[in-house]
Amino acid sequence: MSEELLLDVRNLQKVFELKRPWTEALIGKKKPLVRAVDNVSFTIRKAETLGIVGESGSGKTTMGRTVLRLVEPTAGQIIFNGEDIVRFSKGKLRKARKNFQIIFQDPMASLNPYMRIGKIVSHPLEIHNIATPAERKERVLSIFEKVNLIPAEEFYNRFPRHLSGGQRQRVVIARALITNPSFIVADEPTAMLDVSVRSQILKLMIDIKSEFGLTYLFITHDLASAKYICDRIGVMYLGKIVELAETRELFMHPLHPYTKILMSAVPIPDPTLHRKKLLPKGEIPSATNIPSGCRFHTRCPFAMPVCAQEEPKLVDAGSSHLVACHLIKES
Amino acid sequence: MNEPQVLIKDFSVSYRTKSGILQAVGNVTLEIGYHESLGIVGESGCGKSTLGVSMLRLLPPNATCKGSILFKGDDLLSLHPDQMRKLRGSEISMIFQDPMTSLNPIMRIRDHFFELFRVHNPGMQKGEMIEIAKEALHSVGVDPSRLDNYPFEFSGGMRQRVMIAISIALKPALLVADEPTTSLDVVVQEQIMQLLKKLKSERNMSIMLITHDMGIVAELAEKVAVMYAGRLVEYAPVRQLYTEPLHPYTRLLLRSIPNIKLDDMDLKYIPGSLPDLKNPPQGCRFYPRCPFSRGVCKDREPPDIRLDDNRRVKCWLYGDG
Amino acid sequence: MSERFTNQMITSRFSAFLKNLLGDASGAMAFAGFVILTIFILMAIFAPWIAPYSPVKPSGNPLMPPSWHHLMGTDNMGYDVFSRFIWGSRMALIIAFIATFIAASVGIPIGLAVGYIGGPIDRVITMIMDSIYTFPGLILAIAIAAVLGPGIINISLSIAVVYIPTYYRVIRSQVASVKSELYVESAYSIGAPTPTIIFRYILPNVLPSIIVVLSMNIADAIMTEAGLSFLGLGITPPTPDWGYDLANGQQFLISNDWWMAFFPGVAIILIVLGFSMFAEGLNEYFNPNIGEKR
Repeated sequence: MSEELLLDVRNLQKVFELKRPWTEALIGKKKPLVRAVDNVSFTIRKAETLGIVGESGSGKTTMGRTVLRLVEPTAGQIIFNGEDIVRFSKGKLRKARKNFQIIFQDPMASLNPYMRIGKIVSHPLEIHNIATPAERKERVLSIFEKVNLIPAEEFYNRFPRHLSGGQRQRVVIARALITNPSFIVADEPTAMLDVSVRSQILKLMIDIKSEFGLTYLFITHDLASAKYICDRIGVMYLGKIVELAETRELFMHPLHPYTKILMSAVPIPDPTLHRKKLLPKGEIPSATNIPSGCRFHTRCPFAMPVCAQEEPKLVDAGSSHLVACHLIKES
Repeated sequence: MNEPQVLIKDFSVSYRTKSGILQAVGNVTLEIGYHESLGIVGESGCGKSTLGVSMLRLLPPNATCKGSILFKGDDLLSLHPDQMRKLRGSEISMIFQDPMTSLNPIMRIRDHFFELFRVHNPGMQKGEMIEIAKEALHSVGVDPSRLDNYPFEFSGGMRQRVMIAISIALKPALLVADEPTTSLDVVVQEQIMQLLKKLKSERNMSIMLITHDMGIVAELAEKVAVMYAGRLVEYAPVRQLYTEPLHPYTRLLLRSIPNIKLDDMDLKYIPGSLPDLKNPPQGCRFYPRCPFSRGVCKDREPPDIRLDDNRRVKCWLYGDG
Repeated sequence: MSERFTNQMITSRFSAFLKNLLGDASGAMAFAGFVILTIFILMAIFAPWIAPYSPVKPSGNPLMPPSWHHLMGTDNMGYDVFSRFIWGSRMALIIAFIATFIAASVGIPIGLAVGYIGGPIDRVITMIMDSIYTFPGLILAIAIAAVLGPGIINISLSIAVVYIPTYYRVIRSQVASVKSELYVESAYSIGAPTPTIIFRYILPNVLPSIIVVLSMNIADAIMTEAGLSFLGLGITPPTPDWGYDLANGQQFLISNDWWMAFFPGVAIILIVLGFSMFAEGLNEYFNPNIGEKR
């Protein structure tokens, strides 16, 4: 892993305006806002796998899409290989897409039912005018071998409906790789796959990472897969990163109360273990009504008075272990 | 009690579809003791949901059953529909995966309860109905005053609690839970699992927990049945299943699940994919993916091999049956 | 149009009947409909060879009841009703196909574009289309035909206008839902330009919904054409046309000369039934939930 940054995200924001009934508009009530991604900053080094974990409503999925401008950010900078892609024109952005790709959660829905697999995977080459038609087919077949879609020739002419979930996800991965991107966002890539197929895909992603020189942003709610595949992990809650550290360090010394709660809640396939569970109070607040101060204070078992008043900043608690919590002092 | 509460014997379910006959469940034999929790694990297409739904005889019209399901001595499959209706909700209850769609959005919570009571106890007074409903809500951690709310006023986790409350209101002896936490966040999932544990001990209820998540099975189940492609491939007490899994599928499955407690995860994976149930392989259904297979596995399906009172496995590696 | 309702009632009773006889009702219905309309299409193509007499020259005494020489009798001008029956299919089918083709060619692209762009354009155009749509079809066709005058193209245009909103609505709502599908977002994420997204990713996925509409549309167009001719706004006599013949034959019903009105009427009913059954059968086939018994 080099020290060179591939991605530098600064103060990224994505705010959604919700519709409100006209009766409320009349009395001057503002449109409810959802701050899905609220002033988030992080970096990813070349050849690194950064994981973002969180529950539904954390904003992790939105962030994954916003980082690639599949959802337009409301504010912030996304510096990819030294260039801020937020400032790219639509045309320049479209052309730049061959350098960064995304793998979605649902392999069934990601593939056009009316396109053959070979066409689906070669389409990016066509769009960006890479290689001659004959060369394109060669490249597709070679990628199929790399992702274990063999016999490659047979898969080339099939339609998505003939493939299993795991095979479809491999097609998605193949399509993401075909233009030789340097960066891939993986949004819950195994969540909708059968359990016995999940590790296939995770292992595939690890294998191709070194072969293709990739950098990953791995978004998931599954802490266990994140531990398996990620070098660093960031924990998101209601639109903000509350903790960010190297994987080993995070699991050995989780600092933020929310991280501790998450880890204690993860079910472990080992009946001999008896763990004391740390549970939060109450429920996740509505995204339109984010609590004052530290947004976790309403559920935090260790909340102090200051937590309701002041929002804690993300500080380095030592050896690049970032955490945003009043309980933890900067070191 | 020596007799189990539930005895499923040689049970099979086939569906008649446009493209042929699909056997979803094949020759399953299982027991659930009184106050016991049984975990049924498997992936999509293994038949676990079909099995769960069969416990309440809620199969669709194109399904045919063979075998028997004995509940407290009576064969559920040969009961008159009216008798079965009497059992549903009061003796055997079911909770489903998606709390968003399992509750009727235009009925208040109290009406959900009232409907349940009206079927089983037509003479019940309204006052009594409200009492029982409130008690049920309280036992699942929902504020009893929310009886008047509509389902949309609850979050996902709360809706699931409400659904559990309705299912246990009449104190059923058996609760079938079909992927009760799959669509919930991990923290909420943990809360629901703790709730189920509490209810089980408070109400002396037995639970059939159907899931693909080996983690929650380890937390709640006392015995585990592993299903693959419609077959019951292994049955064991929970500790033994995880520490000494016998069936190759169980072994590979356990080695392919990431575990946050392990530092160096050497994840294995199971090659291939699930078989097509409309065209199942002739011999053992796991044969195409099994690293330990032998010649006989391809030709003939292995029999149920009973190694112990509580230990069964369907695999040629362990004998000839 | 009330005629459409009557046909749907007949169609569903027919399908209930077929359900008892055959296995897959939707497939059987589609097939039966297909058989009927194939017969009529063949009839239209091979009219010059099948028809025993010329439909526009007297071939016998007028007002003769059905006989071996004239299977369906002769009308008041001495034309053979059977020959006019056969030749009439040409007019019905030609106009219906042209009208449907025009309506689809206009409605589909507009629906595609508007569905994709959305926003205020969507609201304005949908409002316009909805107003045309809610206007009673036959009356609208009459109004336009009165302005344009007779002639095959004009009649086709009048009828086409009535159906443009149908294609627009169906395509637009399909596009609106397909637009948010993950494979469209994937197309966007690999850098596909907008025309590619619309034509390679969206269009193939919304076209299937049109097939059923097309068939229903043809059935409806045939009836509208017959209606126009019935009212004297369609083709010019003596071109063989069922609607015209139906109107013409009406006046003779009093004197018990039934065959001049009967056979054109039967022709219209049968061909419309054929297309409707085909459409309904296809619809059930593509959406199996509709036909399923609970």
